[in-house]
Amino acid sequence: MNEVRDMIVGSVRRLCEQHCSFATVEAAEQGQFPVEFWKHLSAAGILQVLVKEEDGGVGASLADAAAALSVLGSFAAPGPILETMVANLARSAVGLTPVDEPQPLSLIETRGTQDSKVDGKDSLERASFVQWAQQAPSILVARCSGGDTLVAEIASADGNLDRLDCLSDEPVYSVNFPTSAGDWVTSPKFDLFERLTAILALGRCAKSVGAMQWMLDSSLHHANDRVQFGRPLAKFQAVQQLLAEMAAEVAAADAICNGACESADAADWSFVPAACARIGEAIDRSVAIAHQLHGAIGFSREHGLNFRTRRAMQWRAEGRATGEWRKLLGARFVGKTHSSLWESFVS
Amino acid sequence: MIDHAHLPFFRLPEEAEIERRAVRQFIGEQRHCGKLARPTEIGMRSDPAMSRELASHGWIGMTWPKEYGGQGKSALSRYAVTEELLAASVPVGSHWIADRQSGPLILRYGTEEQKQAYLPQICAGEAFFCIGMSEPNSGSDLASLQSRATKTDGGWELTGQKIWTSRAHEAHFMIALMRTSTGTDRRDGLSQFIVDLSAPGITIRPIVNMVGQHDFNEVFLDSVFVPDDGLIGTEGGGWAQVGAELAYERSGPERWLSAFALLAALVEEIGETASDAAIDEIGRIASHILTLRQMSISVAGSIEKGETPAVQAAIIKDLGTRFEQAMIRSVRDIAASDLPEGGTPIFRKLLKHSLLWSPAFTIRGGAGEIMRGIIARGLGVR
Repeated sequence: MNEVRDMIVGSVRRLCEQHCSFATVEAAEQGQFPVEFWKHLSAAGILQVLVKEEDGGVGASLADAAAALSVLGSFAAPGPILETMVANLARSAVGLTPVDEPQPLSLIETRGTQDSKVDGKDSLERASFVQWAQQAPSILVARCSGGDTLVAEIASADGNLDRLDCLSDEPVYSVNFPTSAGDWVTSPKFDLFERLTAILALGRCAKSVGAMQWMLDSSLHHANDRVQFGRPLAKFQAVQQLLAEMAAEVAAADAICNGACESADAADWSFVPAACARIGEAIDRSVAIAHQLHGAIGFSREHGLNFRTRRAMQWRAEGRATGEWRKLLGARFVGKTHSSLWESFVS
Repeated sequence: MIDHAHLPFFRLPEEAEIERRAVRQFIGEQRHCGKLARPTEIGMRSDPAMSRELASHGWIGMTWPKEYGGQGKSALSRYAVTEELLAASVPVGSHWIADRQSGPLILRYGTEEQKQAYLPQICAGEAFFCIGMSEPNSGSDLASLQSRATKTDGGWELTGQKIWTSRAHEAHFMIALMRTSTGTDRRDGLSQFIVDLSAPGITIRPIVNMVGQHDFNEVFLDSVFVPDDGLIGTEGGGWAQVGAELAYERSGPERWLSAFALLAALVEEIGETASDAAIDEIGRIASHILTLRQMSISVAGSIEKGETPAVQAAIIKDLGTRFEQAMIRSVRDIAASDLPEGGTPIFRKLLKHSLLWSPAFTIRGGAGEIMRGIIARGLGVR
């Protein structure tokens, strides 16, 4: 680890330990925004980690940010933290100053160009699946239109909000807003939309890795503490085998997450689909094993395990689903020959 | 974070990529002049002539010091060379064990005389090794082995039996793990010997496997004399030495590239028009290959730093071998639904061969259950 990463990870861990209690996580599912926690995250510059230093940010690499997001994921930390981090990156890319308040980023892919007026009326845009839109003063919308990325801040009050159901029970909304509600800025970078998509996806991967690390840790503690048939569970070979299998899945998820982030930092984004696909699979297996090992105890709503389970399931479903990433990746290899197939794995 | 479940990121350095390009060029030339046929089998074939050819390019023992015939290159360069050779199904079987683990063992624990005696021969592609570990009554429970080495005048007398010894019939030497004393801890009484397989008292008998091939053997040792300088490392230190050796054996790309030829053949047979289900499954397979590759490179990186990442190696072996078995099943299913008549005859032969080999993946080189036992120990529950 480098110094920047150590510093960010250390401060996020401290903040989570002090301000992200079980009660905070639980209250968030009732729609209660974690005000104190957010204030501290903001003061520590966590929301600006991805923004360049000259634009007032921390200038951390994606791999650094991912390390911090893993810690946040392990605590099941509430609030649109990742989404605001990436919103700030998008803001700085189009010359807007970063924000401290929650401002979840929503990505809208539209085909062709869209007129702002239809039959004399404002045309409506729909931002689906926006985390904490109700509790945030505004959301940031990035729209991909005819190859350009357009970015605008939309005041939550200007949109029609509908609460959506989601696996983690955190507050998520669809936001319908008139196109004219935003002051659209076009990004000078042609690939901004794809980059934002990839960074959000990697951020979810990193959070999921953290949640899985928590699950493994908790499973180990539980197996060591819980006594059945006169012995701790961890003494049973069947249990040891499950723990080992889970550790291998977590190691794989961690390795590809790091690999994808480090490569992206070196301008190679090709590992993003592989990371999302492999981590999606690791989540399924880790959730199954962690619950198997915790037994009924882990299945109760008040146990920390279910918070990680539900979030990991949710993150796996957000953005492009695991299956879509698999197809994106698989399509790369169609039509290859023996040697060109191998070359496309390596380069 | 649980340390053993973390494999730090490594990027292959440019020198490794230069080496990779050289191997690719070599493979292209070999294919062009007909010395390297397209694979009809998975796994590693033996070809002493190919081993000598690779040796002449400096690709055997390439990480070892120049004074012993090596090239003094990094473990990461070797990693790149290895995966190129495996992905192209180059027959590297003859020298594989010597290059991967016997040589590194001699380099690490051998005396100066032993290094001088064996390493240059290995690097020249002239000395092939096999591994004498398993016995009729000692498979996964290796420490229970009974073959014995007794001290005699000027050396040792070895008596016992090894079994499932891959390529013993093609090898010049065997590194045999033998019992040299019976103490309170059975692991303490084991020692390793370099056995010349042409020595009197050695009998090698073939065991034909399910695939129909002669790969493994029984090796009988009947009062085989091994001189004092045939003991490798310390007397009684065999168990620890074997542990280090296995880290090399278990983490390499052969654990997830042994059936790559099958995947490549499937992709070629499908051509440009792949079904959604096939694309989805190929994507899943690719995500595993890319992940395992990242993990293997990480272990190569820590070996380069002089570490012995035994738990991480066990993780790769367990994940890699189970992945390969699943991959072969996926290829079978895609072929059955997407290819006319289940593919061309050559493809079907490759598939049959892969399916028949696949149960062995999670047995050879340490059973999956043993790997998970090693991982569990790393987690502190054993």
